[in-house]
Amino acid sequence: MDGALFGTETEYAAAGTLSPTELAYRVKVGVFEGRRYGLVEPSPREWGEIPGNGGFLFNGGRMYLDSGHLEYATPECRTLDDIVAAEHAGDLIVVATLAALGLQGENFFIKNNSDHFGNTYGYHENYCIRVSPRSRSVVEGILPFLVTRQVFAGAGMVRPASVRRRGSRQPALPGPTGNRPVPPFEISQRAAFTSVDVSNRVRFGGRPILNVRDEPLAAGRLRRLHNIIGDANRSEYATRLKIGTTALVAQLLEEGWAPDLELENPVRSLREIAGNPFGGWTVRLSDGSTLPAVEVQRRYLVEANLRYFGRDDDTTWVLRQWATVLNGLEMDPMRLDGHLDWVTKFLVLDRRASKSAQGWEDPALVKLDLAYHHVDPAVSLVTLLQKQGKLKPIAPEGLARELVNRPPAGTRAVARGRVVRAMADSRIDDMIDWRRLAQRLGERSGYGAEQTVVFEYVESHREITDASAWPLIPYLNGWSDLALWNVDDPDLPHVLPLGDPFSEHQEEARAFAEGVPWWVQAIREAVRK
Amino acid sequence: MRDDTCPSSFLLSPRESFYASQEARTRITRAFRGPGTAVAISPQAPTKPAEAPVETPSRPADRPDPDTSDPDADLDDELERIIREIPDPTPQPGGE
Repeated sequence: MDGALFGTETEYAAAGTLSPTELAYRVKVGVFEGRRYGLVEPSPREWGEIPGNGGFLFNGGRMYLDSGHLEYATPECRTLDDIVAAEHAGDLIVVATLAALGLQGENFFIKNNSDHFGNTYGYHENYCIRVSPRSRSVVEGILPFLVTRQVFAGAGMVRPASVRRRGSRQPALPGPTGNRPVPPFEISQRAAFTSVDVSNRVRFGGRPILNVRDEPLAAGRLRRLHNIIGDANRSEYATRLKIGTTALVAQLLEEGWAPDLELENPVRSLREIAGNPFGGWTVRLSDGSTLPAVEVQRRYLVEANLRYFGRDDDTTWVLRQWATVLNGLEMDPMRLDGHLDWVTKFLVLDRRASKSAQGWEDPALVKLDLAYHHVDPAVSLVTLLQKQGKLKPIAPEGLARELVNRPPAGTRAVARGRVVRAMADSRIDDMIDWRRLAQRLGERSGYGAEQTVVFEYVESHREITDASAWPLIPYLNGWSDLALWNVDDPDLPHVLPLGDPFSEHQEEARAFAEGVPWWVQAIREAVRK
Repeated sequence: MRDDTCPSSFLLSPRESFYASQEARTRITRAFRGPGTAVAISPQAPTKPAEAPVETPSRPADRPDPDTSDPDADLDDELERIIREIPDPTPQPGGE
């Protein structure tokens, strides 16, 4: 997709004979054990990550623990096929690691956003943009889109009891629903847990629709739009549409276009839409008028179509499908069965409820809801629906398996993957003295001091202020650069900057990777002394 | 273009509000005319989805079943198996 760069982060839920946190920990260890899928990081990182908490993968992505969850960040991608496949590659890594550890069949990972006990966890989208994500034009311009995007991007869920206890939020539904009772079903997994429209935090102080944490991961004017309202989709079609439409909207906004509409209360609209699986959604604007949610989407679609139609295959696919889906949602959302997650799931659950004496109160519905998101194909409802032809995979067959071990083309992930592989082949992680590292951090990580240690070690790969850290941390891997200890001059480590995320940095990466075995050998000899 | 797309019959339900300008109308109409897709959006096209002469695919539940047997019986069996095999809902740490 021309001019676009995107990636996602998935926090997996876990269940089985082991506790979720223990299962997440053991699989994280397994991913890097024997350099199975990547190279563990010995450095502490921003946001309080301790050494060994995770590492970069050979596909250029990253696997790590966050808030007790196993989390997978895809490598940077430029095409919709790649992002769908790269996301699925994470699922494949998780399932294969479970099998390698002998845990498969009794322990499972789930790609969703709600545990039905009142807890939510994230699926975050990142888009490279050329303006500040905090600018008023971006924030105001994207909110109406994100609030209404769930009509096709929602993953759907049985409404958790904790949400039901808040009381009935759902007004009388319009149009075709008549007097039909509204089932306890939300078309979005995240809406019920979102309480503010914009925040620079992701959890405490209110979970926002849009997180405006300004954390550039690239050089120059390139910034990171961090969207945390999205659901972890299982339908590849929905994933493509979600990422593709949002990338186009991000481009519209960075070009200065504005939708010229403002929601009166974005969070309220978000929740009202989520609580209605029958369609006919409307939002109230700040001028007191109302507008169908589908029309809000069309406002963005029309402008994107005028500017971008025919630009490249991905863009044209998105524009066509965006229009098609909006028409379908307007006619009857249920006709999008097999394409949109929430519709597909709703119809499976509704069918089960209609055969149960307990109706929508049947506890099996919650299990089926979760089964839809299980990533182990043996018990995945999505896999079952795909086998029966009711839900089609549309990414090129085999691409996800390829992206387990190689980065997608056209981005700096190519360089990162190559160098991480070279470091792993040199067994550089063998030289990490984890005991000394723990002691050092332990000595210096008293209350308030931990940030100092983090700063000294990773504030800048190119200017590490504490050169004495190198014997403990012989390498540093990051999204925007990689570094190796230079035993001849600890103050001048070998660094591969990856400032341009749209470049594969082929030549620099090749030269750096060729040097890695020599530099690692020098480090090994220095450590022995 | 890939063929795993939504039913093209949805394209026959344009709304006037969909078109912000004549230019948009022209370009979007052209956009919908994919290879092998015989779609004509005329000025007289119906403006309400319910009036559109669509050939929408019927959902499985709407189709006549000559055998009177449930075509999704296998699905039900598989759902029961999955319900048995997956763990009960498990509280998770709050994330982000």
